[in-house]
Amino acid sequence: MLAVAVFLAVFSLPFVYNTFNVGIGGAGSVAPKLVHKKGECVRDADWMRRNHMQLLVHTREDAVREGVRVTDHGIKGCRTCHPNRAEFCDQCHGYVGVKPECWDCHYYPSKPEKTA
Amino acid sequence: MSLDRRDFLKIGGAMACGTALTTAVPIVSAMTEANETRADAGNQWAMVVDINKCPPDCTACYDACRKENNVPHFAEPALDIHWIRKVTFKQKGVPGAEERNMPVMCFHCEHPPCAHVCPVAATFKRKDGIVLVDKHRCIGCRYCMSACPYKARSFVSKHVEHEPGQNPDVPLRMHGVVEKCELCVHRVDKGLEPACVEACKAQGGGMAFGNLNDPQSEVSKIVRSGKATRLRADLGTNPRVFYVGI
Ligand code: SF4
Ligand code: SF4
Repeated sequence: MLAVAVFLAVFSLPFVYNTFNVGIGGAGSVAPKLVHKKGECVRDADWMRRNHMQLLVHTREDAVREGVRVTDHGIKGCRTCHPNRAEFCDQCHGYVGVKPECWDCHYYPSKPEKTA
Repeated sequence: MSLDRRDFLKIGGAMACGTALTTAVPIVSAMTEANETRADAGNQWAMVVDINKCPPDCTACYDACRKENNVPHFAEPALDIHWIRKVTFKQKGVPGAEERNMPVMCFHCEHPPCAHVCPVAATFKRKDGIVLVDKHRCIGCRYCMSACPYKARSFVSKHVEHEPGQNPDVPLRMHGVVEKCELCVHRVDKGLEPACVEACKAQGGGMAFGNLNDPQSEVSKIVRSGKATRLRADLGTNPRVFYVGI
């Protein structure tokens, strides 16, 4: 009996967690408010929502390994139209619970203060 | 409708191909952008350091490098990160030989042992001869550090924070990867010289940077003159950093 109870508790943990906490559709989650920018993205917005990570990985490989420095498709390109990281990246990533590590190393603001 | 096994497999195969195609098309089309590479095999970058022109306590190259590349400073000497080391030495067996100093950095070896041992191909040599670490891929095993005969590499043993005053053109490195001199690849790709060379030249020092494939470049001329030596040439790594006056 105890084993069944333990099993059920562990098994339902993700559901309980999602219901009472953040996570998609959970009680604590805030649905992301998309900020619609004027102008064209480098790709169709729908495509970007689903596949931006693949585009970023491609430009990353090209830039690091082949020295292809086209910035508008790369991580630096995003920042020029979307200067606010909390509004642009973090909102959705937080909502779906993914934690990319881009900004541990890269600088987000397109023009950071340079206190030389 | 009844299908025999062969038809069933054919239809299944066709469906699998279709699915694979629809997934692959957007990615492939993302790859076929008009891309201009700056890592041109026609350029083979090299550096020459004339250590006769290194004043005893000069740290111009070292300081410029730390600033340009956001090289963190860790207080414990064993953990500190160096892209350039200032090494002092004395001629052996020469009585009264004066102490001299020279900068030692990654030599961007033509045959880099560090790249050969890297188990995940994070360390690689670009077409223009620059040896780089893809920090996205490095797993921090440190094989490369033991393979490098020149002690050019450092392990990032701590978390490093973004701070005002850092150079936004060069990303920081995460705790757990290995880093080293990148020959200022971000500057070279823009047509500039590495930061150390610029700083050294500005105060009359003896560093030069250029293309070995161009017979008119300063480095080619010095290398051809026979005055330039490589450190531990016996190892066959063929460093791309040459010294004059050792
Ligand atoms: S000097 Fe060391 S780190 Fe640099 S390419 Fe040669 S072996 Fe690799
Ligand atoms: S520490 Fe990183 S770069 Fe060095 S060998 Fe291991 S994976 Fe490769």
